[in-house]
Amino acid sequence: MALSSERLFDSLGHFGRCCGVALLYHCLRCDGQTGKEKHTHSVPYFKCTDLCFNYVHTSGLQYINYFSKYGWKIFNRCGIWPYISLHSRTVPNNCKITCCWKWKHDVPCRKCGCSFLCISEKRLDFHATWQLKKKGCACPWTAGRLAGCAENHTLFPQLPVLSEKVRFFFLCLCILEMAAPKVAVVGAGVIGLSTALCIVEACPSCSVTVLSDQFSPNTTSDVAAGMLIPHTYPGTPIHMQKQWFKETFTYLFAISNSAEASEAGIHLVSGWQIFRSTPKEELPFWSDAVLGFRPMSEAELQKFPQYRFGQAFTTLKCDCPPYLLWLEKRLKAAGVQTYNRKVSDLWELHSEYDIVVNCTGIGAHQLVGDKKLFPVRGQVLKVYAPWVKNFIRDGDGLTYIYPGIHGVTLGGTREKESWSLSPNPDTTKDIFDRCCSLEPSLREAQDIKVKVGLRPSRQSVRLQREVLSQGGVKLPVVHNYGHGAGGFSVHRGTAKEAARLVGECIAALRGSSPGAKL
Amino acid sequence: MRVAVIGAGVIGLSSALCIHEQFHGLVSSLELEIYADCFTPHTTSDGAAGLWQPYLSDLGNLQETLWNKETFDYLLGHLHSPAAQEMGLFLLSGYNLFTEPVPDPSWKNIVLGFRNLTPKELELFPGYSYGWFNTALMLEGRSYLPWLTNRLTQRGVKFFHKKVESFQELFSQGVDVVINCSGMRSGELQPDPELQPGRGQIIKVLAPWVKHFIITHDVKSGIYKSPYVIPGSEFTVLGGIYQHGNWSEENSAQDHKTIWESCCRLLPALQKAKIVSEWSGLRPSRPQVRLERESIRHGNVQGEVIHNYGHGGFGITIHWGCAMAAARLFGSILQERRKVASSPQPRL
Repeated sequence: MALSSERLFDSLGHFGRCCGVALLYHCLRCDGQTGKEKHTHSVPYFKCTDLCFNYVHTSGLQYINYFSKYGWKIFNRCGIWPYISLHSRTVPNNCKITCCWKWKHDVPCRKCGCSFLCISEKRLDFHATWQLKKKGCACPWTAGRLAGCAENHTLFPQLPVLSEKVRFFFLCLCILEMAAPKVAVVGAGVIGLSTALCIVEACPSCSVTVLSDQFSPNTTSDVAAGMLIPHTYPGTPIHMQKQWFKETFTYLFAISNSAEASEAGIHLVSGWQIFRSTPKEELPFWSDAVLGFRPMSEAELQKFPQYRFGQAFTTLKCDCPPYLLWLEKRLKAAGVQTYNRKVSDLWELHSEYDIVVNCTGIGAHQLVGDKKLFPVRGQVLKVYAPWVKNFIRDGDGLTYIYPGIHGVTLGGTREKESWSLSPNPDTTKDIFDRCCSLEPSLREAQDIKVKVGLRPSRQSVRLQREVLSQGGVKLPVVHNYGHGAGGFSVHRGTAKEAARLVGECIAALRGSSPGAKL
Repeated sequence: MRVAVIGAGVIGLSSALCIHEQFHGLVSSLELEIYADCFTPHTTSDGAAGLWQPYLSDLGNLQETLWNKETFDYLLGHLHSPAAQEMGLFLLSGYNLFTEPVPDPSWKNIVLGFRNLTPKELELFPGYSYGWFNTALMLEGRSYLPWLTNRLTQRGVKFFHKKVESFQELFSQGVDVVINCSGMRSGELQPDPELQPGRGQIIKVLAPWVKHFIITHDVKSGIYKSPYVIPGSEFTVLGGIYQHGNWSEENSAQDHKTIWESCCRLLPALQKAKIVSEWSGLRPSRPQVRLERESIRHGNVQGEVIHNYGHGGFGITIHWGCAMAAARLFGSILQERRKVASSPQPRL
């Protein structure tokens, strides 16, 4: 039954318009969302006859053309939902209809003059009860039935009798409060929090929740120094790593130069990366992304007599916990809730959330059984040595001195496949000695604290969509983990990409047939 | 041989140490004394941020450039010694910013890694179109002066908390040589119209996220009249005041406003920095450093004075070179005395 919407409007005109509130009624389209014609299933769209609403409230329903689809622009607390297509009984958990004070009005039945009156108080859901008022016709209308009275008079008498597969809902309202897609981000390290932030930035109407069993200062990110010096992933194309790094650097650079810098823990730091023998690759892929990259002069190398070659540059550092706390603060301001919760299986979230984003870092080994993910244990010392203002890093990545806001991070180790989170005292001494040989003044460092973190290492960062399904129910998942030693360096770039993938999931959900969740 | 040093700032203490280190073994009864009415932490040197950086131009004073270099090399040599942290000595990198291209400074090959700023770096500093990046040294007065004091005390040098009114006063007590390191108040010992105060004011803040020095320049106004930010080991110094001829050591509210606003504009992150203290001091400015010998005679009293003052805003930068030069002058005095002593000449 292909009915064109225009013909429907022509015939019905301003039916049911009253008190300036236009009656919303349905029209049939042939599976308009995908453009394919199906005769057995029709997806009802609700359209508004009157484009100019006279609402008291500023938010309201506006009929718009959104990417060649017609529908309402619904305003809710979070933002806008471009259009809605309502399916029978598929949205009970999501959709709530809030009435404005003007909603109460009579809607007359064309045929018998009975009028329909919505009797629910403030909030309605789709299963609202409607009652006929006049002429003793008081049949309640329950959801799922065709909009009509006991006399079987429908509001739209012109419409043919439709198959049972098609349901109609009758809406008479004003402000539809539509819950936007519910997104759960699992993991509250730098990847989880920055991904959640990118999602709300890209999709303000989304309802984002962060779930994690660990928050700052107990995440892997809190152990890291947060230096923006990229780690090379063998399995990810270099151009992509470069883009992620540049995006991250640009983002943090702007914050470092603003009044928020100290709260966010972001600051510039200059220093040297030194090599005992000239490396194969003298110009790393990120040399033009950092500031002032150049080889070290002879005079500078004299400070490190056992080293032959070096690179001097200026980069950024994200101190943790300040950076994570700042991200949490921004998330809260954007309406994102965080919950301390251990997720043992992503599927357990399918009933509460529409999309899950997996930012569990090393936890993914257990959570999704990714055997390609392995820990690289890192032990570091955090010391008080405020006279150290430059970073020093041995090109082998094992010995480094990174000055932060409240302490200097001395490192480190790279122990593959070691899962131990307990500090090793011999390692502590070894790290301290190695760092003191690079910077002798560290012998006077105070307040030495030891920390251990497990770098969630992988050949390539797992940044992709997946759809879990069980018994016909689907759960879209976006993975964003496996950043190994380079989490901070690329966090914003991967977070933005993950948010983009979430957007793809939302679009896929919208475009799906009845029975799928919105 | 009694030697008296007047002044216990960085110049006085370092001159004393240099002389004692060099001549203690050579002169049998070298008695070194330090006289000052002001000791750390109340000297002018304590107020300085402690960054090693000469003025932009040496104005043809090659001697001073050499002394600057000697100081840098001396300090760099101490960088890896166990004493470095106690001395308040550490490496610090940073930016010098200009609104127009300027010639390279005399010290470009003295510091480490001197280079021009890239366009991306200049984006950090709107309003500035040219600049330098280099790694220099910090020598914090509040650590260095106590360290020098300890070294001197260990060597048996005596300290006297006393205001010396004249060179004669010391000579009449039996002092043979006076090293005049009285800085700003040298004029009270001997009038010197060329010595003028270059008043400065600084705000000390807590901003541990600042890891670079940033010194802006307004070539037309002159040195230190443009905002600068210098991070120390504990506090960060904000400044940008140079008032020639102003003797006031009182903090000025107007200057505070100038410093605070211009530095926050330069580094927006400073807006959240907590102000810890404020200080005003007088840079002992002179067209060039007075580092020379003078024989003073007053009646029966004769003595040698080695002047070592007028280091303006680069005292820490130049101190060791000057100390060595003062020590050389002292050496020449010793040499002459020995000749006199050994030759059969009647005493004057």
